[in-house]
Amino acid sequence: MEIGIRLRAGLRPADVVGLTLVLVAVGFALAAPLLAPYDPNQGDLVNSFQPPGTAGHFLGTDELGRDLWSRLIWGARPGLIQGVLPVLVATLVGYILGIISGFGGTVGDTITMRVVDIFIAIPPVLMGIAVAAALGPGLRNLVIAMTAVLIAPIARVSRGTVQSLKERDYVRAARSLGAPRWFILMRHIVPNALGPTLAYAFPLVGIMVVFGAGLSFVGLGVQPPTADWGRMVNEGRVILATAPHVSTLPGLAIFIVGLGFILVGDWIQRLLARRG
Amino acid sequence: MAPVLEVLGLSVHLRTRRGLVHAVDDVSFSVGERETLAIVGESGSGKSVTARSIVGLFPQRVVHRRSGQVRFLGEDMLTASETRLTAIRGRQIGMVFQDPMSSLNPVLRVGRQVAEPLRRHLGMSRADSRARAVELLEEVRIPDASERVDSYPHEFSGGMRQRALIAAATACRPKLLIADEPTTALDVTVEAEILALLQNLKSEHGMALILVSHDLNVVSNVADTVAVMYAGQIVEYAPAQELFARPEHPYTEGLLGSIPSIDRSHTMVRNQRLTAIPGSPPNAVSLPSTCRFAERCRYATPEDACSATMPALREIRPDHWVRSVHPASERTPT
Repeated sequence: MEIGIRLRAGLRPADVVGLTLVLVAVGFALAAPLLAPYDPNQGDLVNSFQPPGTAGHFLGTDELGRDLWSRLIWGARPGLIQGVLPVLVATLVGYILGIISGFGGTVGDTITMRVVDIFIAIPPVLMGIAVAAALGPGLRNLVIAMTAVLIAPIARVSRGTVQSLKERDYVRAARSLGAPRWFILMRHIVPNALGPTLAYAFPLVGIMVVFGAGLSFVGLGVQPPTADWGRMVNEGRVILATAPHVSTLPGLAIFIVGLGFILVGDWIQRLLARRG
Repeated sequence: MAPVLEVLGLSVHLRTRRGLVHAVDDVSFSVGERETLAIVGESGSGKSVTARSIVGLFPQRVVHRRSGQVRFLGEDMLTASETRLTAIRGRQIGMVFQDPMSSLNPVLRVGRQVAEPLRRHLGMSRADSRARAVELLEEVRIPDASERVDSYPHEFSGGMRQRALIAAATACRPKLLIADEPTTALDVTVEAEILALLQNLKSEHGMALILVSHDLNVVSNVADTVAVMYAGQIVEYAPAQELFARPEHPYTEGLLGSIPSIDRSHTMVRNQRLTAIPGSPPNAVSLPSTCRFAERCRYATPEDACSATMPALREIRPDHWVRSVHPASERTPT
């Protein structure tokens, strides 16, 4: 109850916009089979390249005559997975690595952090290509590649937080009361390091929505014929002059959902920062 | 009776960014039951390092070398294992720090933090320790303790937080309480209350108390014995009354001369000249091998022994120790 009040008090117009966009996207993803008027993969060559506003296809059709509205709705699924899942997994792994590195001994810290340095030095797109080359393209491997990109920076942030927490007065006070190391770790470090780590990780979701679409655009992600926004932008590229809606509408979807997550990320960051 | 704590020739070298610092140099003192020892000195004089060395509260990477003995109830704390120290900290030696605002974990209820040592050291159950925490908070005079036990630190004032921290530090009835600048972050009225509280707890539970402070005014009301530290060394060590009545070391004289005195009608004494000690303490990375105070001493001359060798700590009167070539009682009036 108390938390509910505090959350609402902290809402700004931008947060409401962000939350609305994200919730709509989630709603579309969950209810895709109910909301989509057509099978997203069912072609109808007679009716290809219909412009938006056509009777029966209000956003028009693509080069194979597939209903664009239906494809956009179904595309929310891989779009959201690419944004949320890598951040979720990378936060979990990075947080644990950061704690081990920040609280453990010098040797563990040095090894972990040098490996992190190596990962940070790899360009994200190159990582996507490398994983696709090794494991093959596809949504699952795309998520693996993006997770691999994210673990290193998140681990670094949580390590920094842990190191600063270790020097806090209340940790020293707890030590002076006879608290053993594991107790300080579980009671004082782990809970208090979570906030700053999450504050760093949340805004990454929005960036990953866009980045994942980018990797799909170059063909490393979802494979045809499955509907995916990044893929759809690519497919519409060759006919941009004659049927611009095929490319621009999924591009707009990426923009809107990416924006929604970034706004929500800012809001969560502010909430966590205020908690201290 | 054997003293609770006996420190013999304690020396601590610390690694810092600017180099190796000889933070504590050949410090010896002892504290008995129900006795209050005040360690006085300015920032960087080594008083806090001395206090923390007693319970080994230093990250190992910072401590370069420690020597001497810290005998607590006969046991040497310098050679004790970390496990042993963990068992002693909070159980037999309690500690209170300077900044109560940051010494409590902001996301845990106060009562839980006070109860923590009880559960850890005395094996109390959650319910028992909570009930005991209420009593302890009452003991340190926190109003409505039974309700405040569930408050979060941010709902407490600075003085209340320090009281809660004192309650936690004394929860297991330690034999020794070390208070490292416990009132520095608090305002003057709260300061007096905290000091009175520490004195009460000390006599009620028969603790020994080490009070670390930079403020002689704070010390004058509560200390039985005073050790004045300068640049890592004890320069004067005497019973409190003796020290305030007949200070011997020029540094102690300087400290006392820099405090405004207040007369019976609680107004500042008029026309009183406050003296300042010129200069600043020597660089702790490269300490002189001569008297460390010589440069600032108004009695030292370049031909003196203090510019040639380090004066030893000597007993100038019974129980009154001083490290100076020019103690007050040996000066020729000019």
